[in-house]
Amino acid sequence: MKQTLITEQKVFEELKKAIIETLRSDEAAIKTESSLIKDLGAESLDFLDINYRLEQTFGIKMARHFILEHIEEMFGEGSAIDENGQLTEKAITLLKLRYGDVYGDLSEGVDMDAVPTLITAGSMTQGVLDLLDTLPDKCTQCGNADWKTEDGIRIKCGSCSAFATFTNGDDLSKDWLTAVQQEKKIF
Amino acid sequence: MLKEIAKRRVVITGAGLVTPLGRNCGETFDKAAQGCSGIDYITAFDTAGLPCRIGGQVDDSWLEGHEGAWQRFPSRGLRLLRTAAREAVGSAGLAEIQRRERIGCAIGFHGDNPSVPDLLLLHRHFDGNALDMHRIAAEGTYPATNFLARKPDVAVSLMATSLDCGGPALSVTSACAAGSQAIGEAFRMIRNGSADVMVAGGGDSQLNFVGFIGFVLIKALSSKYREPQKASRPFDRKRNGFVMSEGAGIVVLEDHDHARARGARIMGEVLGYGASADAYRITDTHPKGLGACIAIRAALDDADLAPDDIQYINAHGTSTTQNDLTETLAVKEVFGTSAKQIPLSSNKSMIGHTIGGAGAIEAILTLVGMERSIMLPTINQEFRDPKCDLDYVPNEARLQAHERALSNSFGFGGQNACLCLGRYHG
Amino acid sequence: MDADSSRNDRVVITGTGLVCSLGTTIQEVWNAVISGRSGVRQIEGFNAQGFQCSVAAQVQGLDSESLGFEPRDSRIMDVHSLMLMKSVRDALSHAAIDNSAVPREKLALFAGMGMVDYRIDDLLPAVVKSGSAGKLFDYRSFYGEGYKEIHPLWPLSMLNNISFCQVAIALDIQGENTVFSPDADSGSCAVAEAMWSLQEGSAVAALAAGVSETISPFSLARAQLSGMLPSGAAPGDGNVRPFYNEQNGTVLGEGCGVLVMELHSAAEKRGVPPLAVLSGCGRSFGKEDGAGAPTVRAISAAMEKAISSAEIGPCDIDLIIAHADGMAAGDMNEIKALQQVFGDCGRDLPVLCSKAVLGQTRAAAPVIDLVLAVSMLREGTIPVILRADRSNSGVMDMPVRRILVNARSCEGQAVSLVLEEAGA
Repeated sequence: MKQTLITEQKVFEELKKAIIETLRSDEAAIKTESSLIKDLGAESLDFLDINYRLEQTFGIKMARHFILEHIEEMFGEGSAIDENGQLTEKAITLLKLRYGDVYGDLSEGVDMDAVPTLITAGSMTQGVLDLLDTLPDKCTQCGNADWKTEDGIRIKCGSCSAFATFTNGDDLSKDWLTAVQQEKKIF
Repeated sequence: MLKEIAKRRVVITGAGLVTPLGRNCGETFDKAAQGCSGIDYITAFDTAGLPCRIGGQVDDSWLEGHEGAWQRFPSRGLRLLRTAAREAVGSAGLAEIQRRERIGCAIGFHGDNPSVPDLLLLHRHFDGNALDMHRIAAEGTYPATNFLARKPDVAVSLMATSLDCGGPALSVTSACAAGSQAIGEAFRMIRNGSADVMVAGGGDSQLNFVGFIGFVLIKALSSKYREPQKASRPFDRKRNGFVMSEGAGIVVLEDHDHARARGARIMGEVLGYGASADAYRITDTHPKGLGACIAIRAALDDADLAPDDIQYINAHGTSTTQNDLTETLAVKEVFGTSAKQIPLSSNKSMIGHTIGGAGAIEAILTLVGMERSIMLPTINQEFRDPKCDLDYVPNEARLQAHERALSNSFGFGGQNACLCLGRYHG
Repeated sequence: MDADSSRNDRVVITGTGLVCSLGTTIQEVWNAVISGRSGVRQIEGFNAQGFQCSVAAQVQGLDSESLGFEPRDSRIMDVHSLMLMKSVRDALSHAAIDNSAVPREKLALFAGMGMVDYRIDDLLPAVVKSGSAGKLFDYRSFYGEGYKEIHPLWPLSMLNNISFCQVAIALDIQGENTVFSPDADSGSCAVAEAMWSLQEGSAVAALAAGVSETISPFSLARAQLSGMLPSGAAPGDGNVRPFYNEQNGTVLGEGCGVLVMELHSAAEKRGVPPLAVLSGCGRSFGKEDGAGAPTVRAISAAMEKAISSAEIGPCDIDLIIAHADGMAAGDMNEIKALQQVFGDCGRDLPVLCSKAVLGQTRAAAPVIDLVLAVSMLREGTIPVILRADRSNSGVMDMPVRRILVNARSCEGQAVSLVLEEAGA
């Protein structure tokens, strides 16, 4: 269910904290459109660190595989990345459907190595919000629909104090792809 | 005096291997020449739930047991080293050499990891501030050898003692470049007169939970594969990480005149050695492979050879997206337009990555390849990566005489090593 | 080759760096040493009361921000990384080596690195999350999911060569390199390799570093369980008593020593004065059963080789800095070896031991000793507080020209290095 306990603003704030801890960037330099790799100088290790911090902060499980890998697994090799290592038209369609404009202007022929550079603070914020929106309607421990938050970061059950659990990022990608395929029959 | 010493030739008079492909040099090479893979599902520990469940395991029955001083340290890595050393030293006839203080050892090895129960035991007695040594001692379940298991120089010491060597003893811990660096340093020692013979190489077994999850956590291992044998696919477009293996390789390096004088069989020559540091990032390789270029050029300089003199390259080729691209770029940078004419293959496609053993195992396979005029293949070449467009000897070994080769090892953290090896004619 | 040009080919030291329990600069440490201070004190940072020995010589006053590490890299840094960074920076600055002085791919870095222990406390989140239904810890849960709670950078902080690589990255050192490990001999091996890389021309300038372990509950436990700590003494009373048969044990120390080395001709060309000459090196391996030390023969052979490679005789040595770490068997072997090699020359030969005030710094020890030796050569002063025979007659003003530095490992290797005054 779409949750409103944790705001986009809050997620962005926490993400900034994680980026500052990891990359020691200036807070002012972190904008929603900042590419982590190109503007903030992140390397692959830093993504691991930032993701870990977000997981610990919000109690979520970030995806361990990028959506392109899930597309390939579900729809066959070559469905997302062609033999020249570039994104297929269908992959780009799906990325735009999922993430809107957050990856900027994606045109055909984008090299797959360029894709990580497209990850921005904004797209990461959206990724966290998507995970938080998998909040179950009812608490899995006691069955009550009584979600609360004390700090605007962790969601807890107001009745039994259990922490909320969310769908993990990889499952979320797969669920979404399945739903979109049923609806739009892209492949 | 310095100039004369620098001219001493260094040859190889013995070699030993134990890898997932075979119990000795001959078996490993033969299997590799057939394009076999030594990778399978890991049975050494429970991998349920891990994103990568495969690796290259050595058959237990191929390993030397532990005798004498070795018994105190029943570590798998040490058994691998001992097994490989036995073959190397036996084939070199090391026992007949008189002056033992002129024989040294140089080994790349990173020790054993503690088991999860070990770590938890310590954890249980650590309250964040104090470690309860009395409880640990009282429980008596944490032997001192556990702490010492990670001590890397145990390998060199046991080797030197059991082989009765009194010369220099080097314990090299430069991660993936360690095996190559051990051989390179040993080569230099003989060349400058510090030793006449060096037992050199490397080995590791990180196929245990703690060693394994280290690489899982940094997402370095392949996690997408149709079958285990297809996971290690260096230079292929579908590569997605390396495959961990265990293994060891040991060579006996010897001063050329010393070897000839005692009638030793010479199986090849070390012509040069180069090393460098990327000085770039901890895990990401330099995008243009600058550090790799420096190491390759340094090896060529050291051997007094030009890029055109090289006829084969044994790649580091780990099957990670980054390394394979970087290595390709570096080779193109150093060899220019000739790059596409020089066959370059990765043994890791069949054996996986043995960390400390890699450089040594690959140097030996390169030497045997030159002796037999066989270039080993890079298997699992299925999907062409347009950015990796060199001749990787795809899928099948090639019968082709070659005299001079390079063997690359580019380590974690950016330490690079390159050995220049040659066929021996006299 | 005539005498002049062979002199020009000699390896000289043009810069030094030092961090240890007595300070984070050479000046600070030297002043402390000649005023008779010791770096051995009660261990701080964790409760060491439960150990056989609760004193050590820890480094203080280092922080990553002021050292100019990319702060993001300090996530995986421990004291040993900080020590190495500071010492290398100081040494390079001392030798006036900036980006233009030496091409980066001809600047080599060899290091002896002490062991790195697993950071048990970093496992805590994973352990906690692996609890299930009343049980404190569930292996299935840990192996399946719990391990993912471990910080992804944890494995990197465990690798022996990571701090070495971090320094290379931070200071753009691209040349030849090797990491040796983990004991005192590995520091000497780093110096030896640096010497050879210069003489063979594969480096124009070479750094040789020795880095100790970080003192933690786990390194202390390791020392205790392997019989290195003094037994029978009260927990607070820790002293390295070298060459004494009655007490067997050492005190751990933290520290890092770095030398910048070049060929004399290269230093002259750069207009940088040599501080001292590394004129000889010798090593030998021979493990004595059950002694945790090399044999008398191996220690003697190492010294003899070092002296002969320096093209001098035993009587030309003015001062010995012994390994002397308080481990009785090894120390006794070292004494016998000294007697064998030096015979009559040895009668008035001062023998120093730095470990009495700096603790046993393992891989760092011989490089720290060399850094101190450089100061002794230049100041003409021997800090008597370091004397192994504990005779107490204050600082000695005694010009010295040639110093022998010994190191050994408990696995059986002995390495000796000869240092001479510049212009000898």
